[in-house]
Amino acid sequence: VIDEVAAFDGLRDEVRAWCARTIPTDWREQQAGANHGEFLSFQRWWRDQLIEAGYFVPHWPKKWGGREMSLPEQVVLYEEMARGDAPRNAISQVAVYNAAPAVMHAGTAQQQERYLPAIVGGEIWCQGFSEPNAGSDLASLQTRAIRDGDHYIVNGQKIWTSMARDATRCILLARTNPDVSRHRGISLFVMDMDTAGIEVRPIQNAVGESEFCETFMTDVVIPADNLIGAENDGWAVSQQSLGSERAVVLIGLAELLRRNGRGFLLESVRQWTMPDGSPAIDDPAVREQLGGLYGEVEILRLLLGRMVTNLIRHGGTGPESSVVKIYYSELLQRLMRIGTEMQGLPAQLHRPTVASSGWESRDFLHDFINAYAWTIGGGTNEIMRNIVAEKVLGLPKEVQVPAGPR
Amino acid sequence: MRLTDPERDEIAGTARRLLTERSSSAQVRSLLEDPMGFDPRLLAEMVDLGWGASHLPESMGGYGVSLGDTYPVFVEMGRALVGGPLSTSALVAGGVLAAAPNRSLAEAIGSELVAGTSSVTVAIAGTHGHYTPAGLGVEAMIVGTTVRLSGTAHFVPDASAAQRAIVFARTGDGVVAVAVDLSGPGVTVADTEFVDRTRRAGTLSFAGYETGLDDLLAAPGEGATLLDAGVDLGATAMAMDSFGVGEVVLERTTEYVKQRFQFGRPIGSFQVMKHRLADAVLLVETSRVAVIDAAEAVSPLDPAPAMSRSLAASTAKSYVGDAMARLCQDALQSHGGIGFTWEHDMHLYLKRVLANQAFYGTSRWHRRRVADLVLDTATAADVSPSGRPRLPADGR
Repeated sequence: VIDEVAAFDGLRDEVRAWCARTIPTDWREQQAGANHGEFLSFQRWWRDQLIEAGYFVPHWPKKWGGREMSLPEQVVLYEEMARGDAPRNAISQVAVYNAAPAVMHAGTAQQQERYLPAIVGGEIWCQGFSEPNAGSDLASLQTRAIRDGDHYIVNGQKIWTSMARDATRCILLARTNPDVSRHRGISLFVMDMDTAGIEVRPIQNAVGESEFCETFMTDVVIPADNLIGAENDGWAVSQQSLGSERAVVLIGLAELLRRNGRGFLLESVRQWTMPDGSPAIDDPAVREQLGGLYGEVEILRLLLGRMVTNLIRHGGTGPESSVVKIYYSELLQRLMRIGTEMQGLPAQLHRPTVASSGWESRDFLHDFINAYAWTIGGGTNEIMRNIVAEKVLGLPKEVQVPAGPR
Repeated sequence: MRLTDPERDEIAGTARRLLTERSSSAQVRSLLEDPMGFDPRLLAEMVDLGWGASHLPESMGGYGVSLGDTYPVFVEMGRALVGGPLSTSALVAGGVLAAAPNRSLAEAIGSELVAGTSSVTVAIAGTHGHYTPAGLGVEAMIVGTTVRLSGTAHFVPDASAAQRAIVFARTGDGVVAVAVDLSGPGVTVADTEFVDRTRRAGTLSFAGYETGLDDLLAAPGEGATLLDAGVDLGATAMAMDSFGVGEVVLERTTEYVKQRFQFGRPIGSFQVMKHRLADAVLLVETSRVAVIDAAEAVSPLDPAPAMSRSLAASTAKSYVGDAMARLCQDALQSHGGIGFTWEHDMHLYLKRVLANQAFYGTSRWHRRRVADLVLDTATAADVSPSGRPRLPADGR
């Protein structure tokens, strides 16, 4: 898809060989029904393999332990990882793709010295942004941080803090000035998770996993030195951290959907039969649906190819990343829904969840429900559609109504 | 030959400027009841600009530029609801000629086509509008060196404007493609009235039409392959056309909901309108990449291998066809009462994309065609839909 990528055959061979050497062929069996401890130790092992190979923070500058991979090189890396059926690196996403960019962009030299080596060493971080009453409307968040000499006192509650119970640190958005308009009075902090006054409770999600948590903060003391960027500038700092590297990571997700999602569905249909005993794959309605899905998954790949090409040639992604997010998440969910429907009753059997597998665990019903993580997380698709309508088409904002009860 | 990004933008810009001026709503409307349905002077200008020749090989007198670069002119023709035989003749017939086994005949007809002295249509569909060997409405009898045609080809695009037709016909030994001189005896051309009045199509009826073996573009045993190429070209032409319509309908609807006030506010501030239009953006952006992929795959100069070509074309035909139809349906609704009037253009756009959905095979059929291609091959997951330069790993 991308001409610029063709030049990196050497890297492709390297990653492919590494995957063949490193990824245990039976990792899915190992992780089927794994408890939290088994999940975590496998995740840590996998993270260490990535660190050792230089694939953990491939896009980072060399001085912080990265490989300074260009965007096309990252495309190759993530494609090959997906092709090699690599497990998901679930424990490092916040540290590498949310915390680190903020620290690099807005952190002081001392903060960078303190945090970046820890992140590249594999420290687990969580993200304290959403609150029970501040989900899609994140800017209405109520967690308070009050300055008191050389520290802040924090009180409030965060939710959907993935990996919070295993995290060493948290990037936290808290209100430092309640008197100015919503976005303006928010600051970004690094909060050490072993500080007194933090209580973490895991939340079981709809597929029964407990990756994300509620985090309660009662008079938590955060040194003023942990403020990232200027006081009350946290909103802007956190928005900056949505880096282009994350757009490239999507290439890997598209490849996974193509191979493990669509590929597995096509493979499975060959095993299934119709009520009259004839092969499901000969049924015209089944064939039509699969033919349509085949094309839609290719379109995802083409769409990402175009986005990454624009990124490489012109830098930056605009609101088209919202288009990709909506299309990817809804296609993922639809594909899994169709698999569930086609398989019929056997799809309803309970199977042990394959930890570390991401959104293509090879259990259609599980993956269908789990796909809500994508249609809701990272900004619900409804909010994404508002963004597309307002930023791409320039449609007027809704008429404001007076604020309701808090 | 491939163009640079600025060169491609230049072609698209020229097309946009010319057609904005020469195929305005008033001009399109003035042609709705015209027997030919197009402005011959505009056609001549488009031919002069090379739109009919640029994507064809030099052996046919073309300029040898990939359709992957020149496709915007066909998108712009959809956008401006242009009628007339250029797209049929240059894109579908031109592409079929470029792929035809009888090279000397194909190049002779091709050079007339490119010079603009002859317009060529392609006749595939029978009574029920299917584009398969079984669906053909014309039969060919080959006796000695004589080829005799009988039956009727239906839904033949721009039949009345054409001097020649490439007619696909059944024989006892498979499909043939015959070059037919439409002014000759034994063939009758009749216009058919369609709901979409921005373009024309008709029937070719054969009674005692005779020609020689020299006029076979594809002999028995070769015709089915060429028919598939014709379907892919036609399907891609329809996808491009619908995409152009969808883009302009999105623009016009966006404009409308910004300036239409109800309840003291622009209706574009209502979330239901925003989400509908955000969906339209999604449909346009996903269609764009599908159209480009199909244009690359069917490009007459350097077409992808048949399987990849058909995958890309059928995906574009079904996905883009359905997406743009939905977009136009929603857009008419978003315009409210005014959108339901004859004087508003929404119905013209909607009828055009609905016609595009049906010509060259329905979406349902094209999805099954994709399934037929991928489900019965062992390496389905590794097949790329187009033959343009791929990530190297794909071929390994």
